[in-house]
Amino acid sequence: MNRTQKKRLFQILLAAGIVLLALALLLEGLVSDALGGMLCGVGSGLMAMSGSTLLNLRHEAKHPEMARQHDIEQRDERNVAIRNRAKAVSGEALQWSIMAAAWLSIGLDAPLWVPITATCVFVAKSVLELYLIVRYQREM
Amino acid sequence: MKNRAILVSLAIAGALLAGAALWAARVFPAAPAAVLGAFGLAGGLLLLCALAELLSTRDLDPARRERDREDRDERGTMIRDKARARAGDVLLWLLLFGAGYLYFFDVPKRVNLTLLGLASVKLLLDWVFAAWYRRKF
Repeated sequence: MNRTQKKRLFQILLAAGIVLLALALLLEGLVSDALGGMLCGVGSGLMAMSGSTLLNLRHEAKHPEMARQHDIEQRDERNVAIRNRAKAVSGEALQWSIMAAAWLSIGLDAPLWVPITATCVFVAKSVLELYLIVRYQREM
Repeated sequence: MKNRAILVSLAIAGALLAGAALWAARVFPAAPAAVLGAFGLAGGLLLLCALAELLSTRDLDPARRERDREDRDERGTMIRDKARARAGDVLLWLLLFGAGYLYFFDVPKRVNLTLLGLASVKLLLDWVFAAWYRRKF
């Protein structure tokens, strides 16, 4: 995706965020609190994310050398390997945290679906990891 | 040798944990069975996994040793890291969508907050580990 397409996409997302936030305010009292809260949350999130990205793109348009350097750093083999290693370790930590939360929920008398769902998510992540390892071994 | 010592310690810890859970179930019959069962299961799993590693015959098979070496070389490590990173991203989005989905149902708010908290911690860890590895390598 080039810079122009990215700028267009985030302008659309910014507009969508503003619309959702406006809807949340206009429909207050007419819809359930849950829906209103969801509209507000998603709208604010979209606005914040799109706003910061558009400001970044504007800054890069004014400083093309910095933008080029940033692009190189993003695609550099060393940085990609570092990012993948960091995400791999934090993903592992998250996976075991979910298991720990499942153990805790048993002790706190949570409904049965909570530890069962957490266990299924743990197993699904492990299976997905194995599938991706096999796939990347063939591709790379 | 160091690995062996750690594995033996883990096996003993697992056996003690499982034994303690069984003892507590007899001495304190009023204690919640789920909690004692969870500790007993954790201890049993720890003991079995440590024993499996200790008694493994993996290192005796040259073909298996060669495969292990291939898995740990640069290409194998890169593939494993990439696969684990993508799976971790999928898990992160699953947590976020799960929190959003459950918001509309009659679940306690602490479930949503736990899911969002875990997702936030994961993102923070991404950043922390990336900075740490950038300094290390």
